[in-house]
Amino acid sequence: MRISLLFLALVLLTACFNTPETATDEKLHSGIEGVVLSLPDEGLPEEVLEGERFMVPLIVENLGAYTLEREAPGAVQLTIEPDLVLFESWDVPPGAQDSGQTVLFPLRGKSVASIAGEKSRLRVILKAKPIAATLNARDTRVVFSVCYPYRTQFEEQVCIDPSPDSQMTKSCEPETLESVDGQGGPIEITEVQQLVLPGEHPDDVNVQFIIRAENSGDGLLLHHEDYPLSCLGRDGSRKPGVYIKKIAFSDFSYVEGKGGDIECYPLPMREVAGGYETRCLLTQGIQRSTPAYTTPLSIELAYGYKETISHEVRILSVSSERSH
Amino acid sequence: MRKSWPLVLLLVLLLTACGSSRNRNGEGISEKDYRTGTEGLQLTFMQNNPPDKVFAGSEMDVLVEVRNAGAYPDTDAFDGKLEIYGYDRKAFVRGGWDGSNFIGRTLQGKSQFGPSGGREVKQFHVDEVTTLFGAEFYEPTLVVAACYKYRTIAEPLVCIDPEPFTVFDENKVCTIPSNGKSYSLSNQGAPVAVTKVTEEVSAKNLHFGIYIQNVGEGKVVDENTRNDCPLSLDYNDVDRVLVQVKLPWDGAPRCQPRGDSADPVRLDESGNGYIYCTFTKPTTKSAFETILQVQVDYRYLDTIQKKIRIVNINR
Repeated sequence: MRISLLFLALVLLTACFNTPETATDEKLHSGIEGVVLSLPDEGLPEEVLEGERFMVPLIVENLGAYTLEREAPGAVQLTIEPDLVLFESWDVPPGAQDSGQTVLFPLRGKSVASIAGEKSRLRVILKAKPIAATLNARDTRVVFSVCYPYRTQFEEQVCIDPSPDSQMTKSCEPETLESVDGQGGPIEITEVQQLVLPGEHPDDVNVQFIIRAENSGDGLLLHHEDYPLSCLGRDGSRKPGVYIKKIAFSDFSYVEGKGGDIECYPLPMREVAGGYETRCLLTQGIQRSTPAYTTPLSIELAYGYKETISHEVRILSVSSERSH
Repeated sequence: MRKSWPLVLLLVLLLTACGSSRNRNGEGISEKDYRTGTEGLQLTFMQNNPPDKVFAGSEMDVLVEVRNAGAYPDTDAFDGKLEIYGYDRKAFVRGGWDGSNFIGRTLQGKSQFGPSGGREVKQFHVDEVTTLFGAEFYEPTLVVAACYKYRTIAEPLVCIDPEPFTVFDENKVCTIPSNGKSYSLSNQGAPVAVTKVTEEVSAKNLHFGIYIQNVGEGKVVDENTRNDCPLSLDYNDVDRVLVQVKLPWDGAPRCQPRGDSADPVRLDESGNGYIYCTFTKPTTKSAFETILQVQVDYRYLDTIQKKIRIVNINR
């Protein structure tokens, strides 16, 4: 009886302390990382003999807030020196697909159920080719590139004041929204500035948002649909950069491919000192007599991203090894 | 003893008559001067209406208690309305005032028959609150504004000395020094107060300087902005009051500014205003005290705010 009670108590205690950490939207949409490549400390070969097979492990982790789906997966591309190393095969987890020196993989980002995104482990099996007889060793580099489509989502409360000169007591004051913690992706929106412009009708105003973003990661920008070509070293037909996938506030919106009552220009965002910039204008007027009000503003950026990691391996001559 | 009991009865009756009495509604009738304080309307959100947090998809009520803490009006002539704003109208589905947003005309001010002033509760009902395009939460700050007509009446007792520099020595009821006289006033049961009156006497006229101040927490608005207040006010609509000043024998003095709709008294950034009025002298040459009646008419704008959080639990 006592043992049963003790066991029950232990179960209850572990249930209390082992509750998986859950996340609010604020924690999910923070940080400046997307998909990150890393090489594990263990199992990484430093030296191999010519003619020998060897394995290079790779960890792929989605540390951002966007999930790579099966329909638009990430791509890991292997680059080796074909004179020195021969590609044999991949060892990939379920769900990933390999084709030659490329692996396509879906990978979940941070979610409400789990603050940590999904982590995946790949292994590539290579074979060191014979090196010149006159050499004791040759160094070669194994390079992994990851190319993936990503999105950055920005959600804040914004104050819309159609009549800044009005003498009424206002519920809010428009201000430039600034972000320093990132939104869960390597491209982060750093500033959203609001302007109130005269409308076509004298009683109306048009609201314009100037959106500024920065590449806070260490990688390169690609197009969010042409990204696999970039991994293969080819140019796509569409211009790489940061695109507005969606912007919405109150009941006004713009969606890429569908348009709406907000127009953004230029797209992709124009490169300026320190980052990227675009302007989104509400084409429908808001009545000047509307009192200032707070409303949610949602901006979603779409882009492709490429990061690279490499590992140096020394190929030893067999004769040199024997002499050691 | 038998002869004295009618006297005792009469004494008892007199004593009870002189004690506190009540009107038909049971409210105490007070001899106290009710024209005190610096408030007009008091606005308060009723507890949990609106709540601090509400779930998207729910209905919501905003209940506002309106109490007339000032001294105007003393008849069923109240003229004012409420407006609510600060939220995105797309997020509040089918929202509206129960009945009307106009405050009842029966909201009288404090008086000897109603020392607390009139009270009313207005309800703004929303059928459904949302967070717009599925956002996790929405935090608007609701503002309820009351814009209402109000009046300040100040009746300081002033000294009238038509001949302040007479050679003959007489026992005057009151005197005006050579450099003039100043009267400080306390509040008059309204958010705009007459704070000071200065008096000077010239050869032919009596001159009064009247200092006016916004002593409340809100904003003074032109009396003629009934439709524009509070949502369409511009710079020319604020800090303007109409002033009428009278003495018993002169009801139309020359004032600067005139104090009428065409030339109102303007309050500065700190809420202070001034009007200078010149009266004719009375026919009598003796000094005496009388009431200087000052009436200030305006609209007043009071607001209260509350931030609420609408949470989308279906995200």
